[in-house]
Amino acid sequence: MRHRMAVAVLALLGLLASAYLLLYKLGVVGSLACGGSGACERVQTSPYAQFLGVPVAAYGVAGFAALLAVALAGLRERWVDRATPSRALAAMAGVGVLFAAYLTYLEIAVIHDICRWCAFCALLITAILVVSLLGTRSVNRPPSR
Amino acid sequence: MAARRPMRAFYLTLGIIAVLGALLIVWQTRLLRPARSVTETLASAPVASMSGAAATGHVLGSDSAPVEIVEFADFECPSCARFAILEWPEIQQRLIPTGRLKWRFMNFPLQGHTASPPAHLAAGCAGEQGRFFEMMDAIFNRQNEWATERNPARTIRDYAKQVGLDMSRFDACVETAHAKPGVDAEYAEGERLGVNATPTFFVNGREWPGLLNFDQIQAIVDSLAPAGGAKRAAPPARRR
Repeated sequence: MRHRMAVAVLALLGLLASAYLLLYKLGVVGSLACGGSGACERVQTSPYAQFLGVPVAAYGVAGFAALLAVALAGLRERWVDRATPSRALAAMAGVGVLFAAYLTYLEIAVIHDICRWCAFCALLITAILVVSLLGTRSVNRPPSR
Repeated sequence: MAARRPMRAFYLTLGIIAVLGALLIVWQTRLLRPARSVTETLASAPVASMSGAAATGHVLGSDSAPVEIVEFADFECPSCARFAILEWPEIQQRLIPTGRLKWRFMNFPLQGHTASPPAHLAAGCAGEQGRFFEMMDAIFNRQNEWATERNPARTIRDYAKQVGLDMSRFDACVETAHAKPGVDAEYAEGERLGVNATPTFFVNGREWPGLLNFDQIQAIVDSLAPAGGAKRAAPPARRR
């Protein structure tokens, strides 16, 4: 249960950070609070800030929102003692980590700039994966019939 | 009952994080930034007469755009580089394609900046191949690489390769200083207009006091050329 609580908090932070980046990409937020070096802006305005025609930040919003929803659902009485939510969180976080690793590779090897907010989201999804994997090991499974 | 207390505390914590995060994001949005001040600032600025013919600079945007911003800049100027890195990408991607803004870059290499003349020359030569703004991006984004070198021309030449220029044509242009008359003419135009620092911006012929950021430029364009609406009447002008 504590693992799912931790995932929920981490996912909420990731959702807020991704939403911030998405609002910047959509032009609602005028400038990014990012240290003033221009690295975040260069990353966010690069061609790699979109994937299959959709802003990468939108994938972050959707992904973290889904993780938050599953984590909260896993705290409900019906699911709290079952392993399914923890496995689902681990699977989703695994996909997220792979995507984040790809984006981080692009930042380092292609764009040659690191966006702090992107790095923050990458750390969050990695932490979610670790916590959810720990959760799959500690959850009590129902007795077999 | 005992199990409910930790859950309540957890949901309360989650709610506080959500509210604080949302408030921070709202604070960052331009909903809280008034746009009216840019109009007042422009209205109080005198109109300058651009000579036009001899110094055309490098233009990006539609010729019929109702708003023209002229930027006098020096490639060795840190504030100019900061503007190019932080503000220019959004201007180029979000405002210029709307057809409401035309950007005119004018070379203004400051006296005492020994590394900037070859940069302006190289950019001018890139402009002869239709790649001025790509070269401008490369030079400004990597200013800290070349600005302190003894021979910046060599590093800047690498940018020309990366931008995809015809190098034989570029080298010939640089060796003969073919772009220098244009750079000199733009500098002379800046001097005539009283430019003494970079970057200096003129909005539809009126000098903007100080630096500009994307939010202000967006507000200026929205004020002078609202999207989808009729153009607003220009404020009364004072000529010099």
